[in-house]
Amino acid sequence: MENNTELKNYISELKSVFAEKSTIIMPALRFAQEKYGRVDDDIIEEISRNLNIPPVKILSAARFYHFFTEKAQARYRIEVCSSISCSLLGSEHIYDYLKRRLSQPGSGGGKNEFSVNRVGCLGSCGTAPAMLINNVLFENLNFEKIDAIIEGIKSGKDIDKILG
Amino acid sequence: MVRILTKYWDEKDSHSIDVALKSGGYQSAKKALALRPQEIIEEVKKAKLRGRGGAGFPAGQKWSFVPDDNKPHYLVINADEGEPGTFKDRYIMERSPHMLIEGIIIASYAIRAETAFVYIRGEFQKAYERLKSAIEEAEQRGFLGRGILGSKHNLRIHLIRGAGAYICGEETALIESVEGKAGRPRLRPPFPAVSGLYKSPTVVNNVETIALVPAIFELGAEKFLSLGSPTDGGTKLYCVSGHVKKPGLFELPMGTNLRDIIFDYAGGIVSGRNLKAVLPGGSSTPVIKADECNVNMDFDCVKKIGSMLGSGAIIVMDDRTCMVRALESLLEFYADESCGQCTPCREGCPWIYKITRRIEKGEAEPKDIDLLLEVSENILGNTICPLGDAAAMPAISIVTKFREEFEEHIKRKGCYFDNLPLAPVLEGRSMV
Ligand SMILES: Cc1cc2nc3c(=O)[nH]c(=O)nc-3n(C[C@H](O)[C@H](O)[C@H](O)COP(=O)(O)O)c2cc1C
Ligand code: SF4
Ligand code: FES
Repeated sequence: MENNTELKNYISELKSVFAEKSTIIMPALRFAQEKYGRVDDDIIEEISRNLNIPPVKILSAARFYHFFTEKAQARYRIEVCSSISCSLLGSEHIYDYLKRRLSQPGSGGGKNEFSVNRVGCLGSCGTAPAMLINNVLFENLNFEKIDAIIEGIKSGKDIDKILG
Repeated sequence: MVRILTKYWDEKDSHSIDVALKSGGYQSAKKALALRPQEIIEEVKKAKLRGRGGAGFPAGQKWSFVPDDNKPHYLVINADEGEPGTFKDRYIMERSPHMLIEGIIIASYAIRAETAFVYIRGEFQKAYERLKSAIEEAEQRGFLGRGILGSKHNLRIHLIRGAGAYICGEETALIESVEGKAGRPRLRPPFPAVSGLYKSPTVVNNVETIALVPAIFELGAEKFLSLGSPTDGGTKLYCVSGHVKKPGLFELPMGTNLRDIIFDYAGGIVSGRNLKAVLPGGSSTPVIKADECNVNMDFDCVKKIGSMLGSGAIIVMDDRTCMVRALESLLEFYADESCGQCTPCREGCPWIYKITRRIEKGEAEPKDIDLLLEVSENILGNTICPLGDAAAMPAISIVTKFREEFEEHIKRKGCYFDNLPLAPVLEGRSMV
């Protein structure tokens, strides 16, 4: 419990910002997900205690949103847009290429290093195909760019600086 | 041509308060705060500003539904932009966040709200950071806070970040989410204007709608109206994506002809191909065929030809596009995003997705086409929110207008279109 101090502090800070404490639930969940990499029962109870809102209410919100996960996520979460505008420009090929490239021996790093998923529209349809890595946006994708991005990650660059 | 939202996007650091102030930023707020709230609403009505979030509801009229009571009122800005094909609100927040803030000042004053929330899509990192620092800049200069610009108006703007649920773009789901709950749309009535956030009168407006408000007070309502079409004032940020040479954002008079947008502004169809079909207002709007594209892109004109202006997201498909595959992609999205509280949507959306997938893979029987139509028709109008319709409408229109492609898939036991190549050579990019 003692380790959730950052979350506790964050919540008490927000109490002076928001008049209605229910509005603190979403920011608190997001904070926890980003800070601790997950939203598990311990986190739910912590938020519940600090806001004095029953845990079941926090839980039913938390489980509704994709962002909040019970288990820790991969270090690099790659999310390729599969919606219509990207699909028209061949985003399936980007997805398949990434899958193939990261499944080659020696390319994917350790366990839970990469995850690759198809997701809905990222609001970058005019610069399709698009994908996110840990919420950093990559646009106008092609295979060469994918190679450069993967190499950049492996050489330890910050994700948002990979393509300069 | 008059540009409002994109007026200073070409300038360096267009998101900073300095650029905004140099271009007359916050002058409209000053003018508006000297009026009475009712006078502001009348101006916005006269300007015929219609909601840019999809439904085209007149903004001034929406504001006038807020009762004259003693409860706190709220303004909520819908920045959850998630409808496939749409990418305008993100750019407004990234490139002219002060225009949005100025609009929020005017709108909140008109509806007598002292607290505004911007619900911003969880994935939008840059837009969030830009808007956050713009709010700080505005607070420092006294454009937000207590007694704004020497008036009696107080205002605080809060940013709330979404968490990966498309349905939270629906206004009542969004309100639930701000209240810390799962984003499940509410039954109406009561409408948010009477009982919304924390059961108080609440106005929900789209980012683009509100960012246009300062221009009404800068130019005057008549001039604003004259920029667009007679029933629909102002400019529109059209989002053009798909098989055009120059995809991107184009700020044009509301009601610009669709053919001009595709062939002049967006550079026409990618080399060597012809136009086949267009989704004129985002992925939930009924498809129109190439020969139906001579239409003025305002809410009423697009409606007249059986589709919708929606969010102004023009998705262009060339003649190598497989319409079954396109529908499969559209339906996959809605099947994943249903919040699950109405049976026709929860069961129907995945069902029509699976039928379409079967047809595309060549595993369907002839009767599946009618089944697809029947299930879609049973979703239509039978749900709490329009997400079910958003899946059913393109399904019905694509199957009806391109039925022979569905039949051919069944006859040939699979897709007979070439596998789409990766990103056909794009010959340029527009201003985005
Ligand atoms: C499933 C669904 C998703 C929606 N997503 C958005 C959205 O991302 N942004 C938006 O402004 N409106 C969205 N809307 C429309 C809103 O419910 C609402 O009508 C709009 O925010 C009102 O603003 P306006 O009057 O300024 O257009 C969505 C509606 C539905 C049914
Ligand atoms: S139509 Fe679908 S998304 Fe909308 S409330 Fe019903 S189940 Fe939820
Ligand atoms: S469809 Fe891929 S970003 Fe919009």
